[in-house]
Amino acid sequence: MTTETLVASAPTRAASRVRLGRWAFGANAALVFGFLYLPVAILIIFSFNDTRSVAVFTGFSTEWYLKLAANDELLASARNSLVIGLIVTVAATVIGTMTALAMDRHRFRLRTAFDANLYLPIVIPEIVMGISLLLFFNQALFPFLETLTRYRATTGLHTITISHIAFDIPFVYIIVRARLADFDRTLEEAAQDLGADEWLTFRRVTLPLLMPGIIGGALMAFTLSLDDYLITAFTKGVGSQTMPLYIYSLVRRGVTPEINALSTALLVGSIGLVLLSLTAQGGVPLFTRAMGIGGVLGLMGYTLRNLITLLGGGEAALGGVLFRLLLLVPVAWLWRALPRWRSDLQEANPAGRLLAVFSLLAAGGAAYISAILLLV
Amino acid sequence: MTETARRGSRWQLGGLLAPGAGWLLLFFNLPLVIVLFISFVERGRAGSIKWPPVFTLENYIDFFDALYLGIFANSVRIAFIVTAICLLFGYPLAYFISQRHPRWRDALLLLVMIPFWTNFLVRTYALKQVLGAEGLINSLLIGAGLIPGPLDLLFNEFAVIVGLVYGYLPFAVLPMYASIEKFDFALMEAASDLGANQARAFLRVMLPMTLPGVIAAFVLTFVPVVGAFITPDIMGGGKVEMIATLINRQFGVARNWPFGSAISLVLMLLVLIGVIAQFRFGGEERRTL
Repeated sequence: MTTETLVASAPTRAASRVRLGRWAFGANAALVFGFLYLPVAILIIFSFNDTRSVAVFTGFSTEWYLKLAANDELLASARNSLVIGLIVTVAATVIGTMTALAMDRHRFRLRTAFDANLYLPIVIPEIVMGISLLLFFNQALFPFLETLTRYRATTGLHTITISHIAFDIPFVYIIVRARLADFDRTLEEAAQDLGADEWLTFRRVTLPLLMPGIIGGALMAFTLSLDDYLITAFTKGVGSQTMPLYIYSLVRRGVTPEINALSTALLVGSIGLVLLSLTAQGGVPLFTRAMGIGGVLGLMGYTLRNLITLLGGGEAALGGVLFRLLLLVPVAWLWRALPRWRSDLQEANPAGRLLAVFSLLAAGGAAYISAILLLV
Repeated sequence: MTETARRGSRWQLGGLLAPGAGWLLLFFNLPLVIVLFISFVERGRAGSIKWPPVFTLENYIDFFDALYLGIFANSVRIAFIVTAICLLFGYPLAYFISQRHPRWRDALLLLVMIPFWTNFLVRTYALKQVLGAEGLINSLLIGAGLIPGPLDLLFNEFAVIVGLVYGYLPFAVLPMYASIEKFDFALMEAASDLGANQARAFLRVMLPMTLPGVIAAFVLTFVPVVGAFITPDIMGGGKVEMIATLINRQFGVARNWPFGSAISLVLMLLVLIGVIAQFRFGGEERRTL
């Protein structure tokens, strides 16, 4: 063997090893992503199966989805989940944002300890938080209230709501706080130099700049509340069923295509919410405004359709009609937001435009479906 | 700052802080104090506590029974196995993602993150369906004639471990990715120029420098896994006991609230030690979640 071949073979060997390395890393990635997504893909596919089998696909049908739409127990639990989710989202978002502002702008004693306390609900096991709330309500709060008022309170949707707000505040806090960390305080000073008082500065400068973080936090809070099983299970009362509790009772019983259909609907919903949340945190007002517009359009669509059937059917109670007309109040905001949104849209790149339209449609669909579930 | 302005700022701070602090103190901290209290009192007849309370250490002493220590050790063992698997597959995946073109990188990272925000129950159900007796894996194996009847892939420790890896693998990837992404790969070339082979360069250069991310990933996976409830309950079908299912039983059929409280506090202590260790050794990657 000459020295020439020896020299030549060394790089080849090295190259082949590099290639093997690349191949192995690619294979590992494919394996992990396959493991993570294949079961979900199978779940979705078999939700469209036309027999009860979840192993052999025999034909396409939407039968299981139609069954869901006619399932009263499911609709009632979905309604409960939505009502809880909406109340929790509003409360946790307002409280979490206030806390983030306080922690970012003020220095006070025990600040570090309180900051750690705000992270604690995220790290301690959910079951510990669940049992602590169970004991708190049943062994402490309710007996205490009973001695005060002679009225024995029980757990139910209200205790679920209180508990969800408690575990959602930290998540909103973290997201808004991250947004505040990048905040340019000179903008506020500029506003005040131009004569704005503190409240006006907050409303016209601080709040709009924080909005992406706040909306991101709100969507996160909503998703977490909608998905929570364990804390809900410990704080529910008799007959207060939410969506995850209902799914859990089904899943423990066995595997059926109805659960697949329900799961698919839930997956689509929560992935949509997360994509909205990520887009909102991206920070472009185009997207947050798109979501607002979509939400208002969804409510408007529901109200108009509903009013027409109400008035056409003749059984229109005045209260009902007035309440539905109340839903049209945000339309005034739409009047101002829509032109600005359209001019922003024209300036955006194609991907941004696509995302903005997606945000609008998703928010609109969500608002429309929620209105149907909540207000029928 | 003038005196009035400072006082105004105090009022503002109070107003902003009061709702959040009040809510958490009342509905998070106070309930934990009550758990602490109940864990030190004797159990009453109907499962709740004796009133007036009789203080005792019995609940903690009971915990040192071989049966309960065994369940505790079993949870820790399962959590170690799960975390090890997550790190073993997660590290190369994080490396793979860090080497992609930025456009692909963001898409792949999104793929890692989506499972975080999808319903955990639904994901666990999806896996249960694949592993079931009439599920895809058994159907394929039987169809191929490899096995005569369905394998028992569900309701055992194997199923729980697979389920936990499935649920928590994304937790491991992100902190390691944050570390690897910051790593300067020129150092690997330098090591190779100085005569180290690939394995040596990895072990002596890349691994030590990305260790904070690995530690963060370890804690972020281990902590939720050791206290997991849904996965052992659904995938174990009541046959695999972990700490959380044991706690749940004390508040359900066993009706022993003081004992359940004591176990909960032990679990919380274990988790807090892990989290504090991570803040101490995990470097800046702690903020990735």
